[in-house]
Amino acid sequence: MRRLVIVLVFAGLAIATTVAYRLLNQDMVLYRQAEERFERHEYDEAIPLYRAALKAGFVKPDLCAHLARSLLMLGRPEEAIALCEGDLKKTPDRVSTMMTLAEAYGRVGRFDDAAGLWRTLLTRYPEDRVIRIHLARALAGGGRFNEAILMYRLVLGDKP
Amino acid sequence: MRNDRHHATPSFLFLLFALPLILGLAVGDGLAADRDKGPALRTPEAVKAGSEEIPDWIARWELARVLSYLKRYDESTVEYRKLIKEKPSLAEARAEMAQVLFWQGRPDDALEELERIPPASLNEETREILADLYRAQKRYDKAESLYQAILARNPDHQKVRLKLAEILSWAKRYDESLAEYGKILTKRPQDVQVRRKYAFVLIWAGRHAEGARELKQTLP
Repeated sequence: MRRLVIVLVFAGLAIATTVAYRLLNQDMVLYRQAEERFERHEYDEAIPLYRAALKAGFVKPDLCAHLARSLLMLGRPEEAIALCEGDLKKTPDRVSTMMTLAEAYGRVGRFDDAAGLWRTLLTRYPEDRVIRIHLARALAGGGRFNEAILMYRLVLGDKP
Repeated sequence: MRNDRHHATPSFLFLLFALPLILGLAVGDGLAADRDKGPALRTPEAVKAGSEEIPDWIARWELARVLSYLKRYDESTVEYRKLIKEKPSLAEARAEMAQVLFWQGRPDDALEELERIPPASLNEETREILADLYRAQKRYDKAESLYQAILARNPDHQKVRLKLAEILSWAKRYDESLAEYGKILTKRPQDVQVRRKYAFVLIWAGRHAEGARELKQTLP
């Protein structure tokens, strides 16, 4: 009988801990679920979960960037731009949001805006090759081919 | 013994309900503290977790393209060759390089590159360039099969149908050529240039009266 009670207690503990965690950290649970789907590239499922976490007041540096990237991946760059611009008003230095916004600008043909953001990021991280490639893409998209070529050559270690 | 069990039950019940709550609160507090102190600025390496990694060969491919936009064909082909050396099975890049060679006025080099690509990997544009190169070399049988393949996918590609009609006429296969011209003229009855070519093929085929009638239609 005692054994049964002990087993029941531990089972109850496990269940109740899970329930309590979910109740007390609903926003965190939503975020984790969203992240799982994001990692699996299930963006259409990730978006409502990120939005719910955001609505619940959850704060995480990459939440906005990941939600925006999910929107980008589903071909909704305008929504991503609005989201990122709003986030940058609150936290202007958030690099992940800046990168996603720059990509979103590129998707809608706002190449000068994109190039401006990539340049800002490159000033901060001059050795980052991915940022430099994105800058080259934005410059090429805006028809500034010579500048783009220079950037590509720098990335590839070629003499300009 | 029975009394002990009676005393034990409320303790277990307390443990059952209170402990998870305490644990939950503790975990929650810890997480809340953790998430609030999340840094606003991180190294790009960390930020890029959500962003794509871009290998050098992609950057080189893009460079080759941008160079071709500026008509710096020599530099472009140098980059394409470096890329193909690294990725020899990249048919799309080889096809693009062939196009650059074609624009550069090097049709033989373009043809050599295109012939290295498995036919199934050719896209419509490249297939047309390859067919045009065969046509220029008077290798009409090869050109014909490529034009036919394009038309099988896109029967309304009148530019390709016209090229097919032309090579059929040059190969003296007049009936087949006239059939193709007929299809074009059904879609574009007002196309004077096509009708004139049609008229000439009728004449070459010995159908002079019909040819003359068609030519008359093209006069203002």
